[in-house]
Amino acid sequence: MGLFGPKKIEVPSHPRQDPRIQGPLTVETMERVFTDCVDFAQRPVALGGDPGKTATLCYLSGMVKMERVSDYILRPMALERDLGACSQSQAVDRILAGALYNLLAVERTTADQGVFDLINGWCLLFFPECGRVLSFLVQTEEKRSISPSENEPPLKGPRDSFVESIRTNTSLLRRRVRTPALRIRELLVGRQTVTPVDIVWIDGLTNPETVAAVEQRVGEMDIDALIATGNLEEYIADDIRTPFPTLSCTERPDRFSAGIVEGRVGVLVDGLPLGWLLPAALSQFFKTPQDKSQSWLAASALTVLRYLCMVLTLFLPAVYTAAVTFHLELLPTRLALSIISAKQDVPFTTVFEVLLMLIAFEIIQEAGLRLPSSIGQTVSILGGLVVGSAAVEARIVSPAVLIAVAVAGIAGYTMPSQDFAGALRIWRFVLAVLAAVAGMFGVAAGGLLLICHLAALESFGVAYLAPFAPAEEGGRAILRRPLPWVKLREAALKTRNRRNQR
Amino acid sequence: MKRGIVSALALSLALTGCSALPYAHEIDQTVLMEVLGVDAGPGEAVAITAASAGRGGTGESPGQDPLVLSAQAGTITAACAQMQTCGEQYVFYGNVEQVLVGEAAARRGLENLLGQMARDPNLRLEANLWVVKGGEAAGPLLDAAGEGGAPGRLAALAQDAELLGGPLAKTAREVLAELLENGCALLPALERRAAEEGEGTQGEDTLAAAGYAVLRDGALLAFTQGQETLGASLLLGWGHGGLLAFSDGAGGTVTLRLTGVRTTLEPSFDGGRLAGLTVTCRLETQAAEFQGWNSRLSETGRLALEEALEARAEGAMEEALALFQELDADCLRLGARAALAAPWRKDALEEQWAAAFPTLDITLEVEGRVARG
Repeated sequence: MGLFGPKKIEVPSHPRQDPRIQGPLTVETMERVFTDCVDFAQRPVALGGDPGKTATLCYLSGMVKMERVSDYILRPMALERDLGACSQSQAVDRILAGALYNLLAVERTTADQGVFDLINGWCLLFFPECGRVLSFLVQTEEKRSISPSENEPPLKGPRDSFVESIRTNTSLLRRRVRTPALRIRELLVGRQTVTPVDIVWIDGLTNPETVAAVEQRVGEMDIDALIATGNLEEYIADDIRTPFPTLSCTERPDRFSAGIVEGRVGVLVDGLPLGWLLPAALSQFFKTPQDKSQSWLAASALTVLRYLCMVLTLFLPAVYTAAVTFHLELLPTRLALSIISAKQDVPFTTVFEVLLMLIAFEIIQEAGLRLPSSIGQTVSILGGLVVGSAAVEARIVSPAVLIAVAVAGIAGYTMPSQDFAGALRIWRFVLAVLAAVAGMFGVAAGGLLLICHLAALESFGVAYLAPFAPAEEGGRAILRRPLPWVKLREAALKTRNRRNQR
Repeated sequence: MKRGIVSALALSLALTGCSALPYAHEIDQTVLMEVLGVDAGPGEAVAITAASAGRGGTGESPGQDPLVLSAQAGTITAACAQMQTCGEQYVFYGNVEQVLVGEAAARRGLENLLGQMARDPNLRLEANLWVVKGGEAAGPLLDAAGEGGAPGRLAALAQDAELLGGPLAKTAREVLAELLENGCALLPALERRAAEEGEGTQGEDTLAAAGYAVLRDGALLAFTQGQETLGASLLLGWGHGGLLAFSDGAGGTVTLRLTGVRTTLEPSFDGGRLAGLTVTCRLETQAAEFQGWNSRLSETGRLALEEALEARAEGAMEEALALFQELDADCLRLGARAALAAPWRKDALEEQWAAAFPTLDITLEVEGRVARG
């Protein structure tokens, strides 16, 4: 321990090996790589039933579908007499030409390719005489079936949602966006997880600069594992020093497809049942997939309601604190009198009450989220009862504070994006503390800070406050016009083709 | 980003007026004063009485009786500050919605009060101003303390005036604007009088509307009496909901409700000289109640009622105009309204109005209509 804290220990850099597996592509190399791996399996196979001509089949059990291996590879190899009659090199050529029935059969030459093929559910067939290696796709298709989205429940629309398999997800996308211009480029991310990440866009429509930027940022990710959403978001986001999300994610393929058609770039990650859409501005987080499924008037009214709820959830506890503690003149006399009546015998200051209730609200919410849904509901009910009515009856908090915090909390639930709602929750605390310190001046200063902060954010070259600012980009964020009138795509996306209908 | 935060903080500092941050007061340790009484003290002193409304209890928490505090000092601010020392609770004047001014204080002048209301961060110019005729403002406030508080009674008076065509309540902002623009203003007056039987009040005295107080140069000059109040209201185009009773000479009475008052002005000029003013008042009424009359109003009776209505209104307006001309107080803003009616004569009218008003020849034309109820 040094005088100014722990001594800095120099950690050497950790360059990535390329290729990761040294050595030739042989059975021995595979055995070395997969030492102490109980799922690594190999077996000799006699070509055409000739025990003098054997090849070696390697695979990782559990990753491959045994029936496929047996039916499409082992059975024809054993039964096809011609394979035993010719040289192994000729046998390889015949297999590649279709002697084995497997859909995908490719020749591999490097250990890297071979190892990752095994990991991805392929099996390798080594021909020792000629030194050639064939790889067959026989991966298992065990995956969760496509089910309705739980976090974005569809009211009037398709009921499928993304699953953990990236290929299934791209197929869901392809089934909606049938244009041949749809591009899906795959990159591998994570030294240990080697996770496929697909970048999706429509060629000739999406801004190529955005595509290049996404590709560059994903390509530059040199991390151990891409398992959680944060592993992706925090590496490709423009600014991570903000609680506000600058990437929009969805579980719903219809929303994802709509975003791709609008000219956004999509990102899909194997193992995560989500799709990300980039760029994402603030107005994006107020839209729901239902907006385009219902009347434009109803959708506009609901969007206005969501914006009002945002203001309410952000400012209500702060304004209540400021008005009750500093600026009584803001309150109508009757309201002030009823607040005074309600606060009689409550031992805490208003500021403390508000902060206490805000924290209690967050605790109940967190407890409800972390538990299984059946217990979570019980906790929420118990929490609501204890923190609500019992606290009021015990004169620990006044009913007015409870109402203000509860209304703010419920208003926050109207946000379609949980990430965005989380950011609002953080800022709600900040504003409440500022109100406690300086009343409405604090609230005004906090509001100003918030606007400055949002104005400073960007998402892949698009201002976060677009289309509210900058003015030249124009567009409508709050009111949804009838779809036949919306003939242009968002200007802020800088798409190659702005017109979206005749 | 950092630059943005620094400029935001600097701006918020500027918003505070670069002074201390506002003081925090716990709301449950605060008394919300709703009515302020201003009276003349000895010498130049001013006596302030402040009253809060009673507050009902919730659950096991007891309510609070109306609280009346009083203090005397050289200035309104000093008197208000003195009241802060009366108890441990914070006395808050930001909710004062009614301000009563005693007659003596009103005759001394309202400039200090209005100035204080304009400057003080708590007092609001949106508060209603009333003048207590023939007494002090403190009296009604102390009386009302035992009856549930003065704020409720005054709010009821303001609402009644709107519904029944009485003198309308005026905010301090309106009075200040009228005094600054016109030099004179009308304020609703109240009087404390013994409650008559059947008035529903429990105490001995009650507050009742008592016409208008006429202010000129910020000080009280006189009060309108009897028909002058009705006349002033009609000249202002007010009076909706007012009730006018007429007798037929045979013991029967009919009560008319004013449903519309429209008063227009038309100045007349002789060459370039202001020669006169014609005031046309159209009254719409509806028969509200018959006592001793046939419930069905005959056409002859209706015409007779219209004549009586016109005569009553004309007489009332004549009396009101005579009072204002005698006091040389154009509280009805006849000059400004005449200028609006003849904007091409605006300059000449404004130039001559002040000198001509006391002796101006004002012609009244009244047209009354009675609709069957």
